[in-house]
Amino acid sequence: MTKLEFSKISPYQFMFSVACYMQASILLGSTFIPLLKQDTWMAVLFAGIICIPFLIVFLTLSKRFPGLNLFQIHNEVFGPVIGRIISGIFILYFLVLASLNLSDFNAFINTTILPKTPNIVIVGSFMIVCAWAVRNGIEIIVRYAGVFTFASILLLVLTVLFTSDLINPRHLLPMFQQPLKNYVQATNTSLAANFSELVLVLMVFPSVNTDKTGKFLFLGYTIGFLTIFLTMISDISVLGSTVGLFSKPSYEVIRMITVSETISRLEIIFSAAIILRFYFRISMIYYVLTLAIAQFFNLKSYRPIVLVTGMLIITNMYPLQASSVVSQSWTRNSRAILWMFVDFGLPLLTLIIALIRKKKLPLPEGST
Amino acid sequence: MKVIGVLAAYWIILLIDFPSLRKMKSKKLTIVFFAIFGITLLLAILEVIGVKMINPMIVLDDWMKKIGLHY
Repeated sequence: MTKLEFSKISPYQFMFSVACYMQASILLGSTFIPLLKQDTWMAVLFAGIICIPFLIVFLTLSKRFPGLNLFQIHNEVFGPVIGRIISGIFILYFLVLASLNLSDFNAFINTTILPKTPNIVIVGSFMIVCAWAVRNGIEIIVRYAGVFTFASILLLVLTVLFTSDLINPRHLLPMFQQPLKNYVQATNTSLAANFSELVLVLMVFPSVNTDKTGKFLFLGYTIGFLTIFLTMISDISVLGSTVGLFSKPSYEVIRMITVSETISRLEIIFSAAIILRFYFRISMIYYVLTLAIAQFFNLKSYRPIVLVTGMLIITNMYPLQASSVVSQSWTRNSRAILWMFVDFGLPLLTLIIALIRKKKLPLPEGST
Repeated sequence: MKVIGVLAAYWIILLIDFPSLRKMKSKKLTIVFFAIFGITLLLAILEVIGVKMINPMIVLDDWMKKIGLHY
């Protein structure tokens, strides 16, 4: 398979990309809140810990095959036929992931800012910006990842400060009131919704200009995890057991902020931050999908197919659209299991086969 | 009217990408481009003329329930 992306990103850009990519999944927390209510923070904590061994699997794969992305690793480990079948599954997965995220973005904008604007105007204008970034390469996409990450952290700090009078740590009690099955299901859903989609870093690893990808992956992961975890704690501390009643708890918390008579309706700032995060997340998936299609067909360049792939994401979004109840139920009941198979099962299988077949590529010259 | 809008959007994509496709002189790239182009155009037209498409999410959910991979 030919190499398609030659631009490099700095380790810090990579770190902030991981953090920002994870932070964008905060809204998905609402899918598993109804299962555990005030105990939801535990699901995030457990999922965050369970994800670590899988990150080690990703890193081990990238260390065994330096300079190769996920699709090239599949080709190397499984051979051209089975490798392509597994790569095909990932193309489908990235396409569905991009369309689902776009659908979430569309639903968020429609319910909070532009209720009367037609969907196609919202997603079309948004995808034009994403396509422009993807066409210019990974360097452009990740350039502002640091700014977006700090904006999310700042928003969290301000939210905690302004809602300090509403925060009640007793809202986190009583603990362990739900059946054990709910804890397992909520942890699985959190793992699928907030953490496992990090598998796409395996497509970006070769573009990172460092030998210490592991260190920066874990730093980015820690920032992302802490933001999600603290946001969850803050939402529950403010809303208490009613947290399960809202589809966007973080948004509801910010709506409660009133600094003075004249400074209110601060949720628009939250909306802006969410748009930035969605922009980053969808651009990353869009970029990886385009790169994956080009790699799959051994194309000379991925750039000429950027716009049509964007159109494919938009048209694929329409059949995937469902009411928030159906969508949340699907995420909790089947997506959580299915994502585990693709995100963790397939990379783990790849690593096991590579170990059995003793497949390993030597480090490129000059690497330590 | 909506179909004309869709066709116009796809025409714009062709106008933007066709020069770079010609410059690349790759038969495979052109085939992949038009394959994706055709699929999306077909899906978009079906969507705007109001053909109700099956939600794969719901189909998959039912299927996973049948095989027991479901909470």
